[in-house]
Amino acid sequence: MRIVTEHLSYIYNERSPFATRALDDVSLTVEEGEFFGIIGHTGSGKSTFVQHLNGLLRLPSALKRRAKRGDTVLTVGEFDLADRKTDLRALRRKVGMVFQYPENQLFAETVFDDVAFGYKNFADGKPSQEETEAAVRDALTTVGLDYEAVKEVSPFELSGGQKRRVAIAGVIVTKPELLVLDEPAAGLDPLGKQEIMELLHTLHSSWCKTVVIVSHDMDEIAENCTRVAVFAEGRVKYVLPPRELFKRTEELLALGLDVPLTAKLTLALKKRGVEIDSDFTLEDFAEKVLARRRTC
Amino acid sequence: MKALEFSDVSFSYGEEGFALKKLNFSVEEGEFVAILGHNGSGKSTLARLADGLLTADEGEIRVFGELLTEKNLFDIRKDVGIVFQNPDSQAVASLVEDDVAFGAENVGLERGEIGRRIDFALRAVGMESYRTATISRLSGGQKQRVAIAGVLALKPRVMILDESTAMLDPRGRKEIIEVVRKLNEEEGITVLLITHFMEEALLCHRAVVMNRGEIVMQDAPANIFRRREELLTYNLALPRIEVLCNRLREGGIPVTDALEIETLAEEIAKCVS
Amino acid sequence: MLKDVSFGQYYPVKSFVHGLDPRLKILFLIGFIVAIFLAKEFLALGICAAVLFAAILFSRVPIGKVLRAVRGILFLVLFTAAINIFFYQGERVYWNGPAVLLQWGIFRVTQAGIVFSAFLVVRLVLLVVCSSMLTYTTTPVALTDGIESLLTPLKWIRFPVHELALIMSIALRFIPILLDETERIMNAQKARGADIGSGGPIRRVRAIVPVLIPLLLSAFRRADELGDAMDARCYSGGKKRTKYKKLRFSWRDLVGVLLLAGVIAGVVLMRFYPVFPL
Repeated sequence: MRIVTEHLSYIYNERSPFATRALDDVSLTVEEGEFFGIIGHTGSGKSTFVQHLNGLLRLPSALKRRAKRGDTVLTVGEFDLADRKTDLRALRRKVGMVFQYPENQLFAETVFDDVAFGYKNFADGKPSQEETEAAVRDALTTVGLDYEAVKEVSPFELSGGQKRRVAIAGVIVTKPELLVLDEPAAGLDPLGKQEIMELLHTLHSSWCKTVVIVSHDMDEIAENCTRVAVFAEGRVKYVLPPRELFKRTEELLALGLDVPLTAKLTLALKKRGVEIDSDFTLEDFAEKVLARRRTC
Repeated sequence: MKALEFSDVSFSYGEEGFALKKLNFSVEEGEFVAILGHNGSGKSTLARLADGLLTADEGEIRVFGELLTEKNLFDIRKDVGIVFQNPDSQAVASLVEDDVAFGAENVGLERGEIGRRIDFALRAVGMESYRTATISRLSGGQKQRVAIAGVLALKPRVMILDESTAMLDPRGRKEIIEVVRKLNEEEGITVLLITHFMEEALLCHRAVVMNRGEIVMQDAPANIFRRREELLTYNLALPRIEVLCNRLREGGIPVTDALEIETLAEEIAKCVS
Repeated sequence: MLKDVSFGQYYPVKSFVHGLDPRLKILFLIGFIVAIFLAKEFLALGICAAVLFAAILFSRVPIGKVLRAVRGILFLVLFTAAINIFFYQGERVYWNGPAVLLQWGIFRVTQAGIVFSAFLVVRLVLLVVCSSMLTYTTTPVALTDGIESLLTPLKWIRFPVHELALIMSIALRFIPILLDETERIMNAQKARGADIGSGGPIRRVRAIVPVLIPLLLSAFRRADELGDAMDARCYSGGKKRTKYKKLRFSWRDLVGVLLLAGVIAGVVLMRFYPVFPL
């Protein structure tokens, strides 16, 4: 699904002493098939932005919009979110959203029921037991869990990493075309992190054509994303592929953001008169350095 | 002097097997130790035992030579401070200074002294200008610094951070690590840093790796990370910088194990045209 | 972001009223409520209203904000007024014209009825405005401190004043966190197609389960973590404890005391020596 945003602004608690401008004239386009990264500090507006993508936050009513912001555009695939009448249920079926620490949304008695929750909610009419079972089995298998072994287990008895997988299965059970994730690997140990990223790639190449991921981990971003948007103070500062973005290491550091290890090294080497032009993945960086090796 | 000493300590949560098995472990006063391990390896159990939040099934725990028992729990807790994982569930009060005061009030200090402790603690974590701020409006890193200050107000000699950086963004993590390092260097506080961020362990004097309730490795961080295969069997990943160093060495650039960006860049620059 | 709007009424500005000792404000509120209930004539209520108005001006809380508090009880106000207009039995004549203005079955609108219901409306509005002024100008923390301090004499009968105050302050601190959490969980379930807040009562209750269970679990988890954090900071009940913050009287409190005590005494006196009785 293609996401098009033009001149999107959002203010929390408008007309109160707590009013905060969370988004300020944001314009950006995510093409279908991308693995799109969003980076920025807590409070930079990135979470507010992604909550617009499945209609959890709405534009101010159409009338006010026309008067105030005239040209605001927000479309996700075939859905026009500036239109009050957009079918949110149909939209949410196609846009899966995984929030931070998604295991906190588990509630059912068994893993099966929890994963089936979204499937039943979105089904047209009442789905048959076989249909539900097939969908749940698919989802759990995709996230790397053994369906037969976990379906009757209480989700609260699982380990942290497994809970997170179940939660993700509960989102992808409708086979969304667009998957939005807010820091999917936060709080996991290094191995758990690695496994989640591998899972996202599996999903990207199977069900969810487009993936949007919010992350603080710049190495993760550099290794995985096709393009990256940098949010700061409610605005979009850059939208670039990692290869271009991390050439601006000094500007990113000035914004108080981190950069991947490879970018830090590229900068440190540049100061020593060595220019390395890599795409900032570890693999490519090492290769480019080794290619320049002379015997010593 | 040994700040913490575990001798043959075992602990189990009910029937699910041992969380800690005959653990022997000690920390010297003034040391900065990292404890690494995947989720469920027993690192948090260790922290809770040291502070008397859990009681060992077997074995002895000594804090500065004194045996930890039910009776001296209160005094031991003055010496051993602990900061937990979730920045949102540790504060008792809504305002920064009220929360920092909590521990000092609990041990019955007089008001003037509490005020001085708050000054000291907030300065130590660099939050003195937030004294009357509302905690819920702070960033995650700031909340954790307030939590550290709340512990510091008791003037502990040992500070345990039980995955206190796990829920923070990189900026918050950096803030916490810097504060802790300063406390160790300037105040001489013994620090036990429990973490699963391998990069954080690089700053410590010693790294301890736990697996299934046992200590399986104990050495200077650089030496630990050299034993790649072994770490992998404990479900731990190497810090990225170590992965890169390994890759470069395989390709014939003889980098050392300084694991520090500037040094590594220097070494690479020497071998590259 | 839910927390900022719906939690607490505190209006964060600095003013004379904000700076008053919370204990005083609580006592004043009680005194004021008593005075309002004792008032038997419009003049007494008028004095109360004038003092309250002055307090609002000095507090720098916008009038509109204060009146918004009244909106919450608008229905109650209108209902009371209607009942009294239609059923009040008095026959007294206040202005030229018949005492009974309208008679329709059991409904009877009298001059006295209109005057009396106006009186009740003014009384209700004053009650709401003065209570909300307390919450607008006092932080929740100061409020609990004030209550704890005022309840101190109850320690004599072994009433756990300290524990009560601590529970209140922890509750206040966790309300915004739990509101935030509720919003997060609701969003997560909405994203999974949950239909919250529509349909009949049974559907509504069923729809709340996926929000309620995670919320309760999270609250328990937090309580557990908080308990550990308190233990680790040497908490062992109120016995040996000292308090860092002591509430202290200042000159402005004295001014406040004198002013308000005078007004309340005056209003109470007017009950017994009415000037313009209803």
